[in-house]
Amino acid sequence: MGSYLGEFEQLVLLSILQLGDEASALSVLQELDHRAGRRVSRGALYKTLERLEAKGLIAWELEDATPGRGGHPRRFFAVTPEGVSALQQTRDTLFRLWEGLDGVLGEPNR
Amino acid sequence: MNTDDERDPGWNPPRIAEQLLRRLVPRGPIGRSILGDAREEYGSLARTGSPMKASLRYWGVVASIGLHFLGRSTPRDVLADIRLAVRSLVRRPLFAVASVGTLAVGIAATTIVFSIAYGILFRPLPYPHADRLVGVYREDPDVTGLNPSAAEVGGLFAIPYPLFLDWRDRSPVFEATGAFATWGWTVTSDDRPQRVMGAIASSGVFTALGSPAAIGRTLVPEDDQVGAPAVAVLGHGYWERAYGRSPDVLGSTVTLSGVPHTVVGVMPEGFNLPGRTTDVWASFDDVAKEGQTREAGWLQVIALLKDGVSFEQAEAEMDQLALRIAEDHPVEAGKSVAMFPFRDLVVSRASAGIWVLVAAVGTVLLIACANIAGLLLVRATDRRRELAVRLAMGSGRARLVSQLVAETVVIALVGGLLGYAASVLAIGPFLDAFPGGLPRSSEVVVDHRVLLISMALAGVTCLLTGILPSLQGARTRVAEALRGSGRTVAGSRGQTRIQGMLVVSEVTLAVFLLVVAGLFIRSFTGMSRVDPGFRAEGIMTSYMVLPSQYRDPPELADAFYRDLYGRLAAIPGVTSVVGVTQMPYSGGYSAPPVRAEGATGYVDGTAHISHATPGYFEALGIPVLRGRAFTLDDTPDTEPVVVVNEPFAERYWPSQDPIGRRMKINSTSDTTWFRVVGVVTGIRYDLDRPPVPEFYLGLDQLSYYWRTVVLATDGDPAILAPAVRQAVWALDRNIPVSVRTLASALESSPSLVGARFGSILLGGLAVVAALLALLGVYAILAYTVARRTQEIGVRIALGAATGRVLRHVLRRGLLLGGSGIVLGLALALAGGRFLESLVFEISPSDPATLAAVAALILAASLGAAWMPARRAVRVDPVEALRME
Repeated sequence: MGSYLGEFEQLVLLSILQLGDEASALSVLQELDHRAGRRVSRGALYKTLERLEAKGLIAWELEDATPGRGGHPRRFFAVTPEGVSALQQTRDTLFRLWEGLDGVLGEPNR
Repeated sequence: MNTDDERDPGWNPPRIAEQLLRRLVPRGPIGRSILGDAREEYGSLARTGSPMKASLRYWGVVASIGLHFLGRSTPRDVLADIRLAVRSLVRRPLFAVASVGTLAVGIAATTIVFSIAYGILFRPLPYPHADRLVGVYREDPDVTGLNPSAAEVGGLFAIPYPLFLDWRDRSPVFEATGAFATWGWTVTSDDRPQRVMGAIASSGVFTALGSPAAIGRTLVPEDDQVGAPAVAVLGHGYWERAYGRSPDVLGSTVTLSGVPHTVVGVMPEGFNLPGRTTDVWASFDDVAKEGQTREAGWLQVIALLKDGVSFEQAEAEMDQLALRIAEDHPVEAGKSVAMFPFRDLVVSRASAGIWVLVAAVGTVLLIACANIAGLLLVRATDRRRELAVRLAMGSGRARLVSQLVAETVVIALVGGLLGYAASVLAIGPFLDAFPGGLPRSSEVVVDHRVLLISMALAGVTCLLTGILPSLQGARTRVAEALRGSGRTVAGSRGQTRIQGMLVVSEVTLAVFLLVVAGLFIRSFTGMSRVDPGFRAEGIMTSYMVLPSQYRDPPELADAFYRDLYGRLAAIPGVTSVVGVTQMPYSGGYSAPPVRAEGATGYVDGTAHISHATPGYFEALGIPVLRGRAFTLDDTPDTEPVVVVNEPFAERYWPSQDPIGRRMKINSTSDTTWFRVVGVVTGIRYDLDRPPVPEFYLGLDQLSYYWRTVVLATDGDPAILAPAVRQAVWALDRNIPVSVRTLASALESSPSLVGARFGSILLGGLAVVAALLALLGVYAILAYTVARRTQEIGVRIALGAATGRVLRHVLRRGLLLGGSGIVLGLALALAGGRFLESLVFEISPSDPATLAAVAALILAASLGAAWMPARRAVRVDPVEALRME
């Protein structure tokens, strides 16, 4: 049984997947803003990343000092297999619940 | 890791913000990558245009990360931290009580006094153009030396109706000009006669004050015309009380002291003359409108300056106008115009004192903050070891800091709430202690902005002095702190010095405040010991105005009063019953122009006027210096006589015998000469001013339908009140009776009330300041002793006499107290010049006050040092050494 995924956790995980190799904290922020229309505070994002890491759903690796970052490294995030299966479970659950409701909710607006 | 080298030249975020962020983030790569993210974003924002925006954004990121990494992200953790904080505070009740109490006292004192000061000084007057409102008076060089302060304009500066018309019609600088006189009427409703207070006013008063009526209309220019019907506008409160807010009141008739007035309007709630409740506004009657005399003034004039006209400009223009008026009316020659911003008129008397209070309360807040700083500093030092241990055992730094924050926040919150509660609860009783003594006091409420400011100030102090040292503590190298056993930690000497400096400055400020308070208290006691020139004990006064049916012929009033005197004299305990028109300390007085026959000093001038019956001087214990007082033989049929007071005699007939000379009142159309038959000592109308020239006419020689009836008794005058009412109502149920003891009137005289207000408030603040400062002395010594327990133990073990140890601690207490005393006295001497005008017959460097304060604080410092000293002596060497 996978751990429960909060909505924001799902968003972060999905953003990381969408970004592929480019998933740094700042690009996740941008992705959330552009695709999900969510402006997220920096602290909240770092806290969520910390929590996802603690649950084993994401991992990160360090890219060495880059110019323009004051000599500080950059972290790139990736979703672990556990993370992917947690997303799958969540999606399946949601799909089951969504099924047959098009009459009420209308066609999804993609 | 020295990241300063890595700062690139172009796009650097604010250095402080970056430093702060560095402390907030976890150590290691995660923290560094967060720093890098922030830097990268800053760089790209700054490059694309606005460095300002980039900086703001950076600060926003710092705040957001601070919130998430310091504070716990879930409410449960926050609650846990708060619980921990409360528990840790409860474990150290002394520290908790001291810090919370200091904070509460500081906040309450600041809030109360600032609220009062704001309500009285700064809050705009409730009139739309308050800044352009001026009070206009006539200045008469003949009355130099009598000038009352602007706030208590009485007859001296008052304006005659024709002069008001000149100003209204000819002034180029006034947009609106209004005249009014405060007035009282008898109105009988439900068979009960009632005294209604208000003003007779011209329409300009309403234009100048700028308020339309709530219903109906205000007075309008047509009402100022001769021959206009008598109309009245009701105050909101009176409309409520007497008419139950009925709109039918418009067009009805209200009979004011027998004269029917048509009610034309009701003013909105809160519309009053400043500082007093106005129940009725009545139009001037034709006698007033047609009055031609320019000598007797009885009106106050307010004007609205035209937009864009400066006060100075207006003064210059009005001086010019005064010259032109004097050309047409020689009687105006030599008189000029005095103008005051309306606000000054309302508050001038209290303002200097209020500023002293504001300064004093600021001082108390400073002391409180210094005290909290000292307490938290001590606590932070004490906790260094605890924090080091927790760090060593793997506690997260962020978690520790968040707990420290929680603790400081709990102190700040509890202290703040207590302070808030105290100020809300105390401000009412505070103001009540000064009935009628503070102008605009009805507008004073606890000001929430003020409360927020003082809470913020105290909160920032808490955070700075509580959290920064703790952060420092959290960064302590664990091993070092543990080794140091909190005793010889490097830097603790510096810390003790900082504490010492804090305590010395607290004592300095407290001493200064005590000196100022001492001066005020001595001024007050000096003033209350001033002999007003009459006896106030055992005197009951009752002011009464007879209804119109007693006025024509005037003998009816005389007969009524004779009858009344007889009834009053029969009351057991009453020794004499007399009448007077101008009772001292009844508020207001009039001073008509006078002419003295054969005067060698002034020929024309003004003087206070009063009328008295035989026995008046005796009843009030006013000595007759020469000649005689009034007797029963002074009747309307005998020569009109006058009794003058000593200042009057000295002003008009210096070094002559005034007995037998004559004087007349210029303003009376018939030129009656009054012969001087006696000289009495002067009485003070204001305790902080010497007696002014005054003359008394025989009340029995002239008929007056109003007067103050004075009863002298050997016992308590207050118990006479019901008997007085019964006696009056036995004669006529339609006469309103107000009674007051002379002692209470004297008690509430403005100068005494002001002095008492200042003394109580300042005295209280000074005591608070002194207690806080002594708490500081105690805390630092207690802390030092606790910290040096081992050292003291060793000394005792090595044979040091306990007396020496005791002396050592006491000496330190004396040193702290003494330095504060010396600095505080120096401050007081330096600041004394500013106090000169505020104290009464006492030098700001009064040696007795300075010495008393010095002795008090010295003794108290010793006292504060005593407890820690005793504890030091009781140190058990074996115990102390075992701690090593």
